[in-house]
Amino acid sequence: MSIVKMKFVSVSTDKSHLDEMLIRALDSKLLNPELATSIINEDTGGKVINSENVYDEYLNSLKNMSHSIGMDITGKEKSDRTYTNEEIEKVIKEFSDKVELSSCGDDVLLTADDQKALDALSECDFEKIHSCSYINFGLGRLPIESYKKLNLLDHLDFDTCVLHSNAQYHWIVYAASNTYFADARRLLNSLFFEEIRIPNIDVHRVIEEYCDILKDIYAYCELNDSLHRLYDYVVIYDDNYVLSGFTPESEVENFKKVFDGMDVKFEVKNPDEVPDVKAPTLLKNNWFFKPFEMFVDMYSLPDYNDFDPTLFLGITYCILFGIMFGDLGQGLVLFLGGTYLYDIKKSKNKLTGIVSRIGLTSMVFGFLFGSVFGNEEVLTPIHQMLFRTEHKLIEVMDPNMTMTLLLGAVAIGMVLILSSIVMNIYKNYKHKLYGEMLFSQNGVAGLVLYMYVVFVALNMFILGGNVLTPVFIVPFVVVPFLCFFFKEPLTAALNHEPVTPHEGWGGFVLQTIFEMITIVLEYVSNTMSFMRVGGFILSHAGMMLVVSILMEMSGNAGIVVFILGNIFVMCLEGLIVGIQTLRLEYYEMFSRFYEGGGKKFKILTSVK
Amino acid sequence: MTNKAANAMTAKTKAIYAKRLKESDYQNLLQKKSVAEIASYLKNDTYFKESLDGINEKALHRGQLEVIIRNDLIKRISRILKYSPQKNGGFFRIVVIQSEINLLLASIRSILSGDYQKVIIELPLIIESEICFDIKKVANCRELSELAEIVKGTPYYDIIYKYRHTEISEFNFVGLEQELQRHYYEEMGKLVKTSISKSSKDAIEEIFYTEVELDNISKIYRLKKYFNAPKEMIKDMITPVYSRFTKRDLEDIIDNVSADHIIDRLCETSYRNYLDDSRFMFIEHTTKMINYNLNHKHLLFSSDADLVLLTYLSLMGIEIQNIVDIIEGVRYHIPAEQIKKMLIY
Repeated sequence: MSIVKMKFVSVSTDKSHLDEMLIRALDSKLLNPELATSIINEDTGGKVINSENVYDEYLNSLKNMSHSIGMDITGKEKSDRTYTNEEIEKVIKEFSDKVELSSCGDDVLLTADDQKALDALSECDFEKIHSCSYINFGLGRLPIESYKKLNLLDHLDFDTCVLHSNAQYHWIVYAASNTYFADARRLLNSLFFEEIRIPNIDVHRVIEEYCDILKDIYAYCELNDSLHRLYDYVVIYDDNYVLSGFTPESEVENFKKVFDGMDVKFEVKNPDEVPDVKAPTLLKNNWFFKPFEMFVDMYSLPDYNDFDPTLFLGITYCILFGIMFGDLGQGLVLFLGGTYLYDIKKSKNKLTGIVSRIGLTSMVFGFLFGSVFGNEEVLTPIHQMLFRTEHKLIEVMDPNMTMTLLLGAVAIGMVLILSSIVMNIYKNYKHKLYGEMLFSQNGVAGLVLYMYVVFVALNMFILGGNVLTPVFIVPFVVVPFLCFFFKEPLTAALNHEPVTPHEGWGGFVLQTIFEMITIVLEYVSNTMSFMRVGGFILSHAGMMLVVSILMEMSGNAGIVVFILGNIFVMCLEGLIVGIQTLRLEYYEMFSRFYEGGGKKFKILTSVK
Repeated sequence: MTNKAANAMTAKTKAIYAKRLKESDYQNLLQKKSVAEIASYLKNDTYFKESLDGINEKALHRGQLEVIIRNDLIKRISRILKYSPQKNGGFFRIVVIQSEINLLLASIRSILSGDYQKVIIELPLIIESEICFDIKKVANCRELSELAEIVKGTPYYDIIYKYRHTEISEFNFVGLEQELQRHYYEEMGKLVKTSISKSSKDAIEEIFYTEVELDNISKIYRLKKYFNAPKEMIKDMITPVYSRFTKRDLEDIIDNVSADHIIDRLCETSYRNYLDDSRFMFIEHTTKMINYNLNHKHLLFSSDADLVLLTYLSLMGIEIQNIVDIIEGVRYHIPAEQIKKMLIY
């Protein structure tokens, strides 16, 4: 139920040990690295590594060749030896020459679509194509839009034929006489034509000879390509190569152990010592509330220095959903389905976990409402026995109960809004924002005013006393409103800053009057918004009543109507209630105390 | 436009805008070492996913990447305009007019150079039905007089007609460009006056007049700084639209202010609110930054469909330019820090 404490760790070494340091950091799966460009600034200095990644091109050439000849050179984890660039190029060239493939480093990987085009062209026999003396052929990808443009020209000195197509490209072969071939190629190139070399012959005989060394070189290039991609995270200070990032405080020692036996220097700092780099947020919650992190993430993760609202969200979401979707039978289906997918099948979709949790509370409230798959009578004897009532504990469809349900929903809303205000006070206290804490609508002033309103409501409906007298109104209404009105200058005075507003007193008063109106409207609308909780209890019962009536009308097919009706209500209402509850969480509660803006903690596991 | 349609358009535009490239995207793009890596990032990690689906990023030509990105904007605008009863009307005309002018200029360039087929890459096929002349005929055009015939009956006829018999050596391309741009501004002016709701009239006029005025400022700066152009020539090239500067102010700048002090004059006006403290790079960077901040403000706070669409178009133009700058920078091995300074976001 918290945000995991982080440490900013920097590991540095000299150039000769850089690659090993990076590999170990990658293998540790403990580091959220920071890009070098986000660390370098004018004060700290430092440089990024500007080395060209030739291994990417080598990999492309190797993949291209292997693809063309149908040979798999991937799969070897570690190369047996190291290679110089010259050695790699020599092997690639030798092999390519022998199988008559291009060995150009710029060569690109032939895709499955390219291969289809080549297969289509092979019907013409590659050798015959190459043996033509007066006509030249070319093959390649042409963007579909470019092909349409080409067809707009009235006169072309060459012919084209589409061999294969996908959503973006046509694979075409074009033919032109020797005289016009260069012009044709120039025109096509201007239309972003991507040429594919037409092979001379289909050769496989040298594969065995080169198989082992190509696999070894491929593994070597793959490793070095990964390392080059990691260079983006390395800053050079003098001759020191520094990899920096965040790791959980509890993992710092484990992270250090990863580099045992290596000549590296460690520097561990608290996140507040590196103010230019934003610390990432990693939420830590128990198994029950973990799935609700998804909703927090959807809104925005909390800032590293903020607090994790998952627990609050989880509890309130479960309760509100349970009340609005109270049905023992349907809740059980949600619980079983969600638990099967999330806890047993280990689905990665956290929504299934949430469904499992809200299924539980739906069952609890369904039991209290005495509703099982829409049947409002089946639990009545149990209620009579357990709660010693005449009928059910809560008779949802009784007209006399409607007002109670709606007022009860508003009361729940008031409690939740008050909780949100208290949390906002705590948050501002933690961040030492005393002005916000004391004078804002979600601060102490707001709390006093809202509690007074709750108190008035209690007196009106239950206690029957009169608290609308100046003795109460002045301290609990007038003073809070004065606090809201003068929040800006009061906050400035608290912070020992000039109290005159930036926009001048005239503009300030005008603007604040409108703000006052907004505040009052917000209090009212936010509270009334919770009436939907009561509304959905009624709507659920109403919809299930319709299902029951249809079932009775259907005679023998009643069971089918019962099943389909329940599925329909579960899907439709479950979705609507889920969204409405989330809306209450985000708009009526989160907007009062939560800002978000955090950065997700992402462990470096792969650079691909 | 009904209120519901307008609200839907505003909501859709803002929702699409929320998917724009953010600072972290630019940070990641700046780390890329090749056009292929940039294409791969755009394809896998940004909202261009759909448009770039199926491309072979390893072999993708940078020009093609730009075309795809520009077409993606037009597709997005079309999606937004589904909510508008005046399909492809309103400020979508801006995109159409810009494309028409670009095509005519490309056609004339290819006629003058004798490389006739060069024009076809500029053909705006995606909005072919909106173009007011036959683009197939433009693609096959070989003579200026032929081009004048093709655009007969359109507003471009009078402009092109004057140049139809001009010798290549005497061809005033800058003058032609100037006239076409003036036509663009006139059309924009008409749009501003006719197709906007009253509630956002002032804001839209501000955006339009600011764009023209900043274009004027850029022209004055460049003509003074790099061409040492005579004052009268500069005055001739100015579009007579004024926003934060009066006509007299602008004439004063042309007559008395050196190129290097033009930025100071900008900072003396309310334009300073839209500039940050970053170092002066080049004039277009400064004017674009002003435009960006102005449009960004209106897009965030306005609920008027026309205004939101107009600002979205403008902001996306800047985003496309950012991507192009990164592609060019990476291609010519310019350090990431240098490229970053050119970006506006």
